[in-house]
Amino acid sequence: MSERIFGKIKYEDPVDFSIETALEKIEAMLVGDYAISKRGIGLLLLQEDESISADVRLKEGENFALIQEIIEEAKKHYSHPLDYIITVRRQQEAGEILSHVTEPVSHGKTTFAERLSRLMMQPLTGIPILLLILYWGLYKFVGEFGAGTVVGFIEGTVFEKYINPFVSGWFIRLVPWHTVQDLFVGEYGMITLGIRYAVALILPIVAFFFFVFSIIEDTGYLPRLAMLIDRLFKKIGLSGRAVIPMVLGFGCDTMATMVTRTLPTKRERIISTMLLALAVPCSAQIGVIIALLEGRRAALFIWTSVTFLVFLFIGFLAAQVLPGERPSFYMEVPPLRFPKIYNVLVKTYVRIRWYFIEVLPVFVLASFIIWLGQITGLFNIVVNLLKKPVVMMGLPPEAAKVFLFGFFRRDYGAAGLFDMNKSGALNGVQLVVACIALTLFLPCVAQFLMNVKERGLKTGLSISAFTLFFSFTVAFIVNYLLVLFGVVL
Amino acid sequence: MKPRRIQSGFKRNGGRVVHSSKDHSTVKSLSLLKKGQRGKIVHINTKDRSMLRKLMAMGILPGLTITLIQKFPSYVFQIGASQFAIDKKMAEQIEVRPII
Repeated sequence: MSERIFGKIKYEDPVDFSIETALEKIEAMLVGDYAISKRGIGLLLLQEDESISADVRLKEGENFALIQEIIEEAKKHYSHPLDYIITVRRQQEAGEILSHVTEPVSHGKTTFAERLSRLMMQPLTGIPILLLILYWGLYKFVGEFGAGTVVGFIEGTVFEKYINPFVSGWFIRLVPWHTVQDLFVGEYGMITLGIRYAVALILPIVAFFFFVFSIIEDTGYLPRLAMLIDRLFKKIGLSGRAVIPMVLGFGCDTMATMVTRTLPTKRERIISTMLLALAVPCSAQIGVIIALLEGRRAALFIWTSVTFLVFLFIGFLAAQVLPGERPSFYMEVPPLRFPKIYNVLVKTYVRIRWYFIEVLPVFVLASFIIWLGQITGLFNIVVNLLKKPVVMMGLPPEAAKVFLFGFFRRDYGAAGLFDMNKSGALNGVQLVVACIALTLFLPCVAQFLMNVKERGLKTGLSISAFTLFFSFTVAFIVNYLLVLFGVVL
Repeated sequence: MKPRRIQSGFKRNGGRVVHSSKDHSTVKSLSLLKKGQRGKIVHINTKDRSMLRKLMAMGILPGLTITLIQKFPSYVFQIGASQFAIDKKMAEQIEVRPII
């Protein structure tokens, strides 16, 4: 093996003004203080790195124009971008170094992980795998076990039997004024409803969701899902990369909206925010709706299909209407790995903590606003306004309260439906229609605030206005069709 | 040595084919390779700077061997030990010489 000393890469070329020449000249001109070598800065300038160029412009003042000239002169002597030439040269050098110390070893057999990965990435096998994951992960684990069994226990037993009566009793003895009592332990009290909902209902469901999501994320499945649906997503103006915020939306739309920041173009960010607001139900909602439509498989199927169709349809329309460039899709596909328990627990914990800090105050605030709305009578005014459209959808007028609650927390609304259903006030068709309207309904307060924060007030308000009208329209149509065909659910 | 370009044309489905006189294998875009085929990267054909950087960041550089793992629904390729998924538009910009 020949001895070779690897020093700096020389960019000498048989041209009149090589990169090496340019580097020497630039190095001579740089007088400012830089964290890396002047040659390093010179290379970055030739590669037209934006942030370094801005930094050099500040530090070199008038000399910067001269440096620009050197760069332009060098560019003229090469038929490819300098970025490309420099990178290729480096890669050749790296290959040369490696060839002295490594030997490529080819694997004869394909590992199980690789075979499973290929299965996941081909639509014929990949889509059934996805449906299996959705069924077992989302429906069975989060929906039936989480929302059904665990919540039933925490809410029904722990809170209803022990905590609520205890706290109410204690509070009523402490504070004599009825109004204040109402605020804290009344029907919509901060403690009896607000905190109970946050801890007994939402937290377990969301925790279960984050747990499943973290497992899926840790295996490396998500990029494979992204490449499967990229073509479909392109039709709605997004790329496969948008799969991350969309899937997170099934956990919490508010958090997912925050993640839309990672999408490269403004057009994608707006479309994904709107779709999250309109047609991606959050886990709390999913949990309660699954519990609501329990035993009515057909109704659940209708709800799922309508939501999915609305998602595609509105996404497609939005893609036609909104101007902007089409996104490109590129993503690394890491090898499939068995999830590590530690990773999963840490990720779940971090997300639950975030959720608690962001969301619990909103619950408490919602209780406060409802209380305020009730004593000022504002509440009743809004409910009366909602009665007309609610009746048009074929629902009883009492359901209007459900939608007002749905604005604060989608699950408040769904829970209201729960009570109505228990008392037998709704038949199957009405139940489905109400669920559809509730899911498509304008985003909850937390999500609305996030929309405004991320996309601006104008966009946030337009999204809310659109979803409000569209949800009622779709519900109206669904109701009309179901009644027309005499469907009984 | 870069192959002398005598004739270049555009295929209907968007790939680029360049015929060379020096050797008898045609240089074509990744999107025209068959599934499972390997090739040596010859050139990245794009004027778009950000596209160029993205492709280079994935390790697409002349001289390296690339394997096309699948084409549908997205293009998935492997360079060295890393796999990447890209869409058709990006795949059309990678020019390779197929290895039979």
